[in-house]
Amino acid sequence: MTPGATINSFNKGLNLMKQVKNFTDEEILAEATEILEVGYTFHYEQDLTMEELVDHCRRIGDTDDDKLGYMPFNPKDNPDIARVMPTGLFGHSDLHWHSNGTVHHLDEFKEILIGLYCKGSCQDTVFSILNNRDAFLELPEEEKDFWRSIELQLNLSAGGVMGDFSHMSDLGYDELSGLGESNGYIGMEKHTDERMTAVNIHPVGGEEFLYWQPPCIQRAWQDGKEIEVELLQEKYKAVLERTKYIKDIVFRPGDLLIMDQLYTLHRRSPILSKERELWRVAIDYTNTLDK
Amino acid sequence: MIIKKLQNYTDTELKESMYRCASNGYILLHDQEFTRQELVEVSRRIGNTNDSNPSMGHMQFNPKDTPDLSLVTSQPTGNDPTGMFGSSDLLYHHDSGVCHFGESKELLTGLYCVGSCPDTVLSLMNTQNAFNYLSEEEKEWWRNVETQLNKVFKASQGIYGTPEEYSSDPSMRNYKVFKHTEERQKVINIHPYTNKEIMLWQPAFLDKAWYKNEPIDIEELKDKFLKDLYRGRNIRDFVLREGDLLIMDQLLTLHRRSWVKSIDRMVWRTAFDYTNILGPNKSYDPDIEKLKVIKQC
Repeated sequence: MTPGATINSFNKGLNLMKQVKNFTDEEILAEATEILEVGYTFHYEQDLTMEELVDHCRRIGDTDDDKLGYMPFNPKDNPDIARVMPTGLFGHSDLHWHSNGTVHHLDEFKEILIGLYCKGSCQDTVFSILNNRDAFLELPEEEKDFWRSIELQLNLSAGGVMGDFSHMSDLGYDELSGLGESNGYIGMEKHTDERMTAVNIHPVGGEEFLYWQPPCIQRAWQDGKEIEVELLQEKYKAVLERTKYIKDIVFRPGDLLIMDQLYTLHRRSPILSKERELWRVAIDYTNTLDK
Repeated sequence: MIIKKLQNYTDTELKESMYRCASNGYILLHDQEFTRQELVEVSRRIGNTNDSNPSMGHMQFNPKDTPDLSLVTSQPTGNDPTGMFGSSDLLYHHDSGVCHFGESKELLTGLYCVGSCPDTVLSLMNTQNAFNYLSEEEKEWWRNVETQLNKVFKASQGIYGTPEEYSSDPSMRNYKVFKHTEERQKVINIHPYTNKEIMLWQPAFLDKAWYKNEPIDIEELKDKFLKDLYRGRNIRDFVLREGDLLIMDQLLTLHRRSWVKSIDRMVWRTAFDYTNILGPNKSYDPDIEKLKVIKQC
């Protein structure tokens, strides 16, 4: 491998052209294993109904989303699917880096996988995935120890994950929380004394990873002493926001992405086409690697 | 982990990288660090950087001290208030403009990111891969197609996302381009460094087309192209971030760009060939430089 090249270094999951609805049990297990190893899998040119998508996801794990499931956007006959579209979940806004635990501390949510299936595309909308496990594991030991000494408290702050193009980007916790609940989102408990560590062990993969929810870090501590959040955010960016750890994707019809929410973060640019529609399913590993 | 800078590559490493570029269509290096002069110098280790495409070299956007380098940004540059291409989205194209196969010697475009916009995506379509996926019957169909390229978009949009974006950016309109009258090019040609079939496509400049010497409808041909080639498996998407260097082979790939949201986005562009690292370009006809070049408004 030529030094410095990243070509094909983060796309082990690509070129899976077989229809996932025809996967054998062995292939399902391989799929779950690859999600854990690479952080995601990606399949082109799939042809799935909503039922088939949910069936595929249920072969990997439970799809009973306890945080974002059963919202007004979710079809009544397929309530495990949320429709991500300009008139549905998240609207047209860009979204900051986040993973789908958002303001929940670890152990407060169970669906640690997200599947996204593309029904309609916007070729100007880029979805970027960041592998926060690999970024951490490649740090020098001294820097790893720094992050191991960090604790966080997550809460909704202005705009939450909604980006610059959202009308919600300036709203505070109470306004945002109230608006979310009125739109059908399940309410989020506010953390007061609770903390979580920045470095954690994946419950299935067993490897350390650096957890980052930039829009939701409200307070932080190093070795028990409170520290400046903004400085910590800059340090997070320097460690994580590097091309070598990021995969950029424009969803095209038939694409299916399944990603681990502890080993990866994602962001999205604004949606310019009303045609863009993703079907989102939250999953865990309980039918494959975590039985 | 220390990333090796391209300017520190040995000749063997550089040669391997560029052969990979000629085979795969691109290479992407991250965490690079160049001055403008260093970027031009390392491009010159690979090949000639004197952009022969009459519409792209030595423009007002190019710094006077490094004229082989263009500043691709929506910041004001030179006398232009919007910079090269402004903030417009750009349709699928390759950087040889209206040049036919063999008329342009700079087969490579290098894009080095100095300032990023996380919302701007550059999509790279590998037409050689796409062609290889086709059935033999479909391949044979394309082998019988010829095209003629010209600057035909005076009242339209060129490679810009919309006619409005084209009409609001006068910067690219007054550049010299080849005018083809009788000349045609095959859609399927042979890459001069890999000897493999390549598929040349430049929809924005398509003036005329023929199938087995019979004129065919251009719009129908564009539809067929989209159906056969515009598929996710043929496309890689990139957000260019600071320190990224993307080198693309213009015979194997097309690219498009979404609109630029951030004024901070700054990409340094060099056009070059493979001649100093992989040898002479046997497809290039130097006599083309004597061809009549016209100026269009």
